[in-house]
Amino acid sequence: MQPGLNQLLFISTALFFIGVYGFFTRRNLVTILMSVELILNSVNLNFIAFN
Amino acid sequence: MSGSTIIFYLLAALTLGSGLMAVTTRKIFRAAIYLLFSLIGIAGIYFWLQYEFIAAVQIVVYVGGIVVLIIFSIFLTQQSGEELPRQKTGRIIFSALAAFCGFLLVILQIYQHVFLKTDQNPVEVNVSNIGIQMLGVSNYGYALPFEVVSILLLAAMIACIVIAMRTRPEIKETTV
Repeated sequence: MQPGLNQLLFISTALFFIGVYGFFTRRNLVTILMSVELILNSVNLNFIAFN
Repeated sequence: MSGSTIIFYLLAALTLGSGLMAVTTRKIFRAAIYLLFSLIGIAGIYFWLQYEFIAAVQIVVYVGGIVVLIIFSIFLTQQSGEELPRQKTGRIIFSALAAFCGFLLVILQIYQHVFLKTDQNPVEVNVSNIGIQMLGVSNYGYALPFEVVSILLLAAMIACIVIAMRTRPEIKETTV
């Protein structure tokens, strides 16, 4: 299957929800910050996928 | 299945796998290292898409800046050898369920939706065009937002210094 827009959006969505999971389950402020970084990166990937 | 496709799926597996490990591992320093590999995987995807400038910026800003900042703050504030306190099992189960359901919902929406192509001509994206756009003062330039953001960063830096500044107790001069 040739990678296209859908595959990139799949990666972006999966990364976003991995970040959301980490945001909910972590109890440490630094690790919550790391989850937020994952979410921000998925948003960046989404922008670039549509470019 | 060509080699390019295989490289793409390897990069995707690197990104998602190390992202998942970054949010589930119990050692905080390992979480930072897994986050580093996830960000490198995203930079590799940008390289695969042939956006070399954005990939370089991703490596410089995230890998070189933010991960190093996180590692410094771990070393300064946490005990990095110990394991993190365990979260309640019910909370783990419910947040995994919520994340998974949200993921399924969004993926179904994406695969059902048909994205229309724009009829506008693609803009030539290279570094000099980005620079001209970023610092342009003409109609569509970004010089004013750029300066506003830099003022915001300056204000945040001053606020950090004020918060971190130790208030020295007043030394009362004793009068004889």
